[in-house]
Amino acid sequence: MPSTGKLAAAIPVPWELGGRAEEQFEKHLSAALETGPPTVVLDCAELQLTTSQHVELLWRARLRCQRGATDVRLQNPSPGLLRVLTVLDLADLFHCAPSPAADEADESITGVGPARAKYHDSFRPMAGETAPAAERFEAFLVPLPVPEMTRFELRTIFYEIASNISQHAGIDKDTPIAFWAEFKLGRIVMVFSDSGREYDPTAATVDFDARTAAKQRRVRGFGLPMVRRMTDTMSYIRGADGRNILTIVKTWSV
Amino acid sequence: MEACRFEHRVLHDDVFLINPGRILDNSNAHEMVHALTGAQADGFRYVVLDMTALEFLSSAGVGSLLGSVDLFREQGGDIILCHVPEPIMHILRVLDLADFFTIKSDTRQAAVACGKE
Repeated sequence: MPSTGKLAAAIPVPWELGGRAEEQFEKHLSAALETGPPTVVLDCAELQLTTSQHVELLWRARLRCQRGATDVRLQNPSPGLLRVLTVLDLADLFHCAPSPAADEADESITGVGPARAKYHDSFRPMAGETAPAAERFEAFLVPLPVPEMTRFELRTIFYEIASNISQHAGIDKDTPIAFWAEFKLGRIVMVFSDSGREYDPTAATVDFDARTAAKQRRVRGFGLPMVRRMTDTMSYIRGADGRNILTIVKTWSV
Repeated sequence: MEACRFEHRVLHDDVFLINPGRILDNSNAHEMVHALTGAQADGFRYVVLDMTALEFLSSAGVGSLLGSVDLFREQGGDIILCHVPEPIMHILRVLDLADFFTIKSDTRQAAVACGKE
């Protein structure tokens, strides 16, 4: 870790992107960079759940800092953010350390179940492994305060994405697909990572009309539209290490 | 219908009943297509799918039904779903298929929809 000298106030990284909060972030970053500081601190406390858009925001911020020879330090990165950065081989480019508070997984809400929980699994891209992996993921969800129908949707989402990767990524059957999930009350982030050919399912997804599909005797191609309808956001990036990273966020009211 | 891999029986003269079991997904969706087209080829105008035991329906499972239903409807028949568990119903609603498929509460109501009883 380089010497940072006296650190300026940390710039909060917003969870909500694309609006005023993101504009504010860019403005604060510009102001901080005007004086050519050795280090800029980005406070990631809001990013308890991370999508690829958040990673892109951090990456853009880093590039701007790099132009002025300014280091970037992440404050309060959640374990999920650290994991995503590690998967993308970016962890070393952002100087960061987990905050003790952020690592308090599985804190309980009495009578409801854990308010936070993390899950990791990997499975081979074979038809016979997808369904059991989906069942394992559902088993992880059972003790959590997730409504039954949402749990069913999450199992379906897992199955559809895992099947899609298995069938289309062109990876060797012995090369595992990695999966992480981070649950927080009312929200779950699911991350699939595979080493297959570059494929952005968010670009390929088109919705369907039942009547037209029936007329066309269509039996395939419903998986991604189905996932789209069940999730809030689905984002894709091709990692620096050549891995496909698909991040899915689903929320529900609690 | 010796080719049908699912539990099945003839419900009426032109009504064939299939029980898809616990799971209808990538592993057996093609068999469902085979069973449905086979029933149609054997002269059954209606297929009733008793979904009592169905716990999981993937997009491939949905596709097997959606891609076959017009085969029956064009011949004045239909594929009728009955005993649909709530999670499966939920998936059908998400896909806007709850109104597209003919869905009945039980096999008796399904038979009535086929013009029997």
